[in-house]
Amino acid sequence: MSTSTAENQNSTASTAEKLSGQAVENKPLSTQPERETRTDKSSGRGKLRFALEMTALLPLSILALEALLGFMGVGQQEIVRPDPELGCVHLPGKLVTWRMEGYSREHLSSAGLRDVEHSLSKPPGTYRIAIMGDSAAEGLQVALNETYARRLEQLLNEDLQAGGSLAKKLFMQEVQHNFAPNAAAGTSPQAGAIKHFEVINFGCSSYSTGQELLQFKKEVAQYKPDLTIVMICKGDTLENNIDVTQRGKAEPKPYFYLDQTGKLELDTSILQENKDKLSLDSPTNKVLNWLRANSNLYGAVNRTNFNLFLSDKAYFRLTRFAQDMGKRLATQKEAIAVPLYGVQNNRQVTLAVIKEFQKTARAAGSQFAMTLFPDVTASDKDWADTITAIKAQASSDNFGVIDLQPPFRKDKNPSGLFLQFHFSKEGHELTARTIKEFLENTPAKSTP
Amino acid sequence: MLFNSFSYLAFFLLVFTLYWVMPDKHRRLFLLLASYFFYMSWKPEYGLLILALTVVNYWLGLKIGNLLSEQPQKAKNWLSVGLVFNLGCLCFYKYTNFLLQSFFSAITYGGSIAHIKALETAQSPAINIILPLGISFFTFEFIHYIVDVYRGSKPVKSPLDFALFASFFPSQIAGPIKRFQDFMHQLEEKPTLKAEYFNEGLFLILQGFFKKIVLGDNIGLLVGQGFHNLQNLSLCDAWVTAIGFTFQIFFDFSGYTDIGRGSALLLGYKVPENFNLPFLAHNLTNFWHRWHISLSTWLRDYLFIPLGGSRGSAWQTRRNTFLTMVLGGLWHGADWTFVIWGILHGAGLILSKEWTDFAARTSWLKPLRQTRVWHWCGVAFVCLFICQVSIFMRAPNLDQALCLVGKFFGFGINGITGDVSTALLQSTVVYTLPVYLLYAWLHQRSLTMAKNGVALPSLARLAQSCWQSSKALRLTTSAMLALFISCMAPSQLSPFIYFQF
Repeated sequence: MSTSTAENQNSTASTAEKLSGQAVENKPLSTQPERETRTDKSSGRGKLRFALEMTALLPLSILALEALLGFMGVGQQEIVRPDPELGCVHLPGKLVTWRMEGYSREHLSSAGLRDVEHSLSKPPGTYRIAIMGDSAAEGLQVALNETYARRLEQLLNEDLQAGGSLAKKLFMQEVQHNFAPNAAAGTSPQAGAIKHFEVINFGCSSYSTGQELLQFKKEVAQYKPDLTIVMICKGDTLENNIDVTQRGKAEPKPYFYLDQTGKLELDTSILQENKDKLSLDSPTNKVLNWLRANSNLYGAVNRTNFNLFLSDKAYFRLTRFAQDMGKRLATQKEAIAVPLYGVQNNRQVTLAVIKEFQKTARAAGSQFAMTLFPDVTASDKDWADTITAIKAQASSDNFGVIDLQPPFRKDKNPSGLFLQFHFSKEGHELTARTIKEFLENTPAKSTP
Repeated sequence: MLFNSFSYLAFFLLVFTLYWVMPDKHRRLFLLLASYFFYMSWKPEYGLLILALTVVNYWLGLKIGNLLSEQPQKAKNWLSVGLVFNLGCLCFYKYTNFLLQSFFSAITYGGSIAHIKALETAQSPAINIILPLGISFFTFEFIHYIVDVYRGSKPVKSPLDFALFASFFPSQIAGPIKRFQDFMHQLEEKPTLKAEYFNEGLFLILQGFFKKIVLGDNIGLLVGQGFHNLQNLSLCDAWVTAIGFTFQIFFDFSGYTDIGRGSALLLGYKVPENFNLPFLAHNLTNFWHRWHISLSTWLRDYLFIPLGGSRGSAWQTRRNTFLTMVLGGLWHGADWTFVIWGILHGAGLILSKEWTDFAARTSWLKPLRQTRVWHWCGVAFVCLFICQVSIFMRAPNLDQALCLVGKFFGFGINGITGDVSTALLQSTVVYTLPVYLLYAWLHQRSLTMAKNGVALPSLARLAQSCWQSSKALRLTTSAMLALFISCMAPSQLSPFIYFQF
């Protein structure tokens, strides 16, 4: 047992002394060291020196901290900037180090895709598959080459390069018959003429299916995919429409609703309300977007702010108070025309969005399929009902459905397929193989 | 209210400002109210518990003090009452469920052996008792108070001072376990805000946040991943998990202590040091001189010595050491894993002492004992031992603890590398831990050089001179360090490990 703490305490001088090497001065705080005080009094040179030193040291230390954070890959999880149409879009070419769940450290492509570089024009003989979805498709939790989009491309091309048996060629012809033949587009390779598969990942964190529909129109269609595969997750059904009772809390993004006739309509009122924040032209937003794209310190502080907002009650209350005060003090803005509609059925809106999506995809020369995010524990009845409804719609509208639940549940270690909420490397691999298997095994049907 | 939260920073800033602005005569009362607010922000009703314990112990102290000179037997009786009361409270809140569960487990085991169906199916009643935060620490402070009064120290006359001693928020939840004589002495001297205290306090708070947030919490993510999937750990995973937890608990606890000591210094009070580079200990006795010093000295003064200490035979000393450590283990938590932890430490201390005595007696070992290799072998052994024993503090049950110990030595492993070791390489800890260890080493080296009167190298002197002469440099470095620490916080606030004890 310890004989005495005194020995330990005596052996350690005061920590301030240790840090600075200064002799300990047992004086009240107001008493400055004599030499310094004299200097200050005599000429004020001390203050000038202090100001000059601060002017030089502050930017230098910020740059040093910026470099240190960059070296360690801290503060590089900023991946999106606000966008007036989609709510947010990826930052092109951004170096992203992701540690919030899993790990990855790669650049987004120059087009802002969580993928390798892809040309806008489709090379001849290429069969192009667009992968769409939210963070599950984006796959920042694993290395880029482990995402199911990249793995699917590798698997399909390995198959092709291995010579591919007649059955496999037939499979390709079938795939083209079922999912790709679009004479109108005139860009799809002829049956048997496929020389390369190209899978492009358009997945972006936080996107709802509705946002993905708009993303398809704005961005994806330009790539002329032969097949578009959209991943839908549990939360997506809650994000396609506004909860009208919680309108004030709605995130700035486009929403959909069903009007009285059941027709799907776009509601951009929340985007309009936040147009100052989302504008690409305002000088403040230009600076903020530059910081998002280039500053690790901005990213780190932003993340700390977000974490504190979620986990610390005092911080949450203080921030909310400041926001409310800001809103009250802000000048009255012009009134936004808010479409009037009642409480929406989330599932019905989602199904209508999917219907519109597959029509849009087909009109753009692409076939359409949905991938259903697995619920391995089968604990969510609402999601199970949604899956049933999507399958029924797929059957009537003739689009593909890739249900990930059976293969995920059959796996010998289902929990190993996930990190926390997102796919692990193994989960991505199984998803890629399931999609490939789906393409191989889908029986020929007549296209509508 | 966690020290590592925005709430605490806001609370402390307010307390610090008001405390130094208000007239001196009101400061103690204000600090007492602030301490109760701090404690009651967790569960308001448990403020009454600490108040009740304070009132009873204050009264007991006066009673024992008054009786001591004329009726020592009565004083002893009141001391016994006080001990039973304090330990009874601790046992009720901390050990009731553990004792019931252990009792019913024994009954069912006995029933299964004797084939008595009624006993086999006996189940422990579930009693919902929430462990009051810090009860293990403040009951030990109360026990120390009444025992020391019985041993002749003057009891505290002022109820306000005594209540402040009992509830002082910088050391309320997880120590260090204060000595009332030191605290009262500081109260008598009327704390003032000294430049020395201010600088040291700020430095300690920053250091504490660095240890807790940058190191402890980030290492904790790896440890959590390891313990979450114990069955599938590889060899490297098991090493990262076991060694990681030892580092985590050190940075977590010493970080807490630094923040607490720093906060106290900013209010003009000194609370005792709790750690002194424990992983440089060359034997287990030395380790306990360096680790959780306020607890080890408490155990020595109020358990080991009353049990007989080392005054009796060698076997009695061994028995006393062993019992002290087992009870010390049980103090940490109401579970058999903590009992095992205590048993291992007790056995380790006894064997360490035997080995030291044997080495001292053995002439051919003498030249070897003088070498640095001997010393560092001792350090390595202590580190390895502490890593293994600490597993029992973290594992939810004995099976899992033994599973990890087995895997640490290569039994039942799932390959050489795995997810946890991969996660370590991807973590910020690979940058921050070596930097901190390098800092600690340089720091210790400079202290040793200063102590021995050896001049620092010219580069170090230049750096020291710049640091001393430039207030701007000190200010920007501190601000950047604070910013850096806030940038390194994991997504979720994690409570201090010792809060559960």
